[in-house]
Amino acid sequence: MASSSSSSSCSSSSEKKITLKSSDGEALNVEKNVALEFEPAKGFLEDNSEEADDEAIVVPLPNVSAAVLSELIPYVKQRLELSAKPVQKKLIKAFDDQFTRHLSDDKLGELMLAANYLGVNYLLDVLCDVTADRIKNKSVEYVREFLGIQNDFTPEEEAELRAQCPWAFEGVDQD
Amino acid sequence: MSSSEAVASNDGLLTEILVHLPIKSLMKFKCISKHWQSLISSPGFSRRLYPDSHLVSGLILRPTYDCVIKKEYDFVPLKYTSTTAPFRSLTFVNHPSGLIILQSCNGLLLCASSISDWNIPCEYCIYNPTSHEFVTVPPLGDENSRFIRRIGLAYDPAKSSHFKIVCIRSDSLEVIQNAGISYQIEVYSSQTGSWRLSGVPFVLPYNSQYGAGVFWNGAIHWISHCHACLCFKVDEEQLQEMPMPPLTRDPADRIEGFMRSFVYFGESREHLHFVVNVDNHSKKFDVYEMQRDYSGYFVKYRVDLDVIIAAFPEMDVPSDEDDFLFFYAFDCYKYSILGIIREANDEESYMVLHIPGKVIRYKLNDKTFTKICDFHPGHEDVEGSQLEFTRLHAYHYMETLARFG
Repeated sequence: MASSSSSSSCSSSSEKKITLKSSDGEALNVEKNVALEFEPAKGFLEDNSEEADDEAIVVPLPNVSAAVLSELIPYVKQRLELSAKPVQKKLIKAFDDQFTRHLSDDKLGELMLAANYLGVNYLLDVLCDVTADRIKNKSVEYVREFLGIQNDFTPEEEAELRAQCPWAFEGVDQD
Repeated sequence: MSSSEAVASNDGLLTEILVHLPIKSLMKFKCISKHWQSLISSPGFSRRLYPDSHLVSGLILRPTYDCVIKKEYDFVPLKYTSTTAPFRSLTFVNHPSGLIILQSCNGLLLCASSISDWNIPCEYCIYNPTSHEFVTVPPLGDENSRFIRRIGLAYDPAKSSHFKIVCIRSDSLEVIQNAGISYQIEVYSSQTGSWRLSGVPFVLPYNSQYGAGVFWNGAIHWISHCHACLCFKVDEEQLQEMPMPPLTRDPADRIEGFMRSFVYFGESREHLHFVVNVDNHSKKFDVYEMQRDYSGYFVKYRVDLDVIIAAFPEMDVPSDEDDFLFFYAFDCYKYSILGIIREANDEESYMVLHIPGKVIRYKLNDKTFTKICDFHPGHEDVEGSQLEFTRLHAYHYMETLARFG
């Protein structure tokens, strides 16, 4: 029951639209139910609930670029449709995999920052899992470089740490 | 700054990524920077990974008879999601006689070398089987360490990352006024990194038994079949005798009472359990729990193995062994209690029972049981009612990354 009503409302052209304004000043029209998935937009809409005409509302999202928003919006929309149906977790997992598989490391980071700022926790969880998967078998040096982290151990301190846990350094991938 | 760098400089996001990493990667990435090291070793992070610090993920089992030769451990997973054995043997210290486990305490294992030979000074290590980190404990003076009779690890990560090791050693084997021999307590503190004497020597009946303790309620407890059961309050450094649950219900029934005796002693989720046989056929027992103020025990659960024996007739000893076993009422059925495990929801609390070829989870409240795994530990050609494992050799595997040392 819930699935048919929800999917029809999502595809319905009469669905109310909200305007999101990106950090680079672009205006993006989205369905209200998608906008409500973004915590800052939800808060903004609640604060401006006396406004009769949703179409007139422009929600500023000063931390997210239009490029990132335009990737997030279709993801959230489809994910909402999927989770409204009584589908198996497997299907949602397959959808998430398809979304994240081709993301560059840089795009992955951008989406993570956006998902964190927008409070889209289910996406954040997926992105963190993907990031963890990409670095788990990498060398310490690779991860430092990848994440721009300064090594503040002395060579002696680092050697001691490595000696304490030799098993952890077995089977490291080529960088 | 790249987006990845921005992510890495946000501790909230970084923590979210780290919780998705396997333990091996976490141990490796402690080397990334001091900040990563402190994040991964923080108590908060360990709680994120393992929210239930009392959860027993599995039992590490040491075969009773081949421990000295092979020193290979078996593992029984207890979580409903799969858990793999943390190790097969303890090889992190290259000790000529190898290492064996003496005690498990809140995620750490107290390990020792060469306890099989009293004349060789023993070395001790503290090992976290989750992270595979370990620290070695400096030995007592050679002359003293060979007379260690009781030992115990005290570690409570909710209170401190420091641990203590308490040992009771005999000064010499000379009997004093027919009362026993002189003992001395020594305590090792990881905070100071050294051993020191605690209190003055005292006299107890000679007890050749060597035993590791059970840590509960801020104290280490040692039980004995034929001597006083002892309890050492670690912070106060007080040794006292521990009350026992009633082993004999009828005073006229002393011999049978002795035969009943206890079959299990252990801690789980801050409860101290003591399991006592209450019939002649070793089918029924009571699980006692100690009051926190040591005022006494109360019966927490009653167990009757009838339904399990009916489901697994192989537990019944063949009748031609009856005569031989006449005086050993315990051994009428083939089983051994590997653990009494309390869950956050007491309805889920269970007993781990080893029967021939299997390990069983028996729910202590609703008395239902399920097979955990098929299990043929050690040598399969061993016949008779002696199972290869007793509770003395089953150690809790509790996953934690909490700091220690």
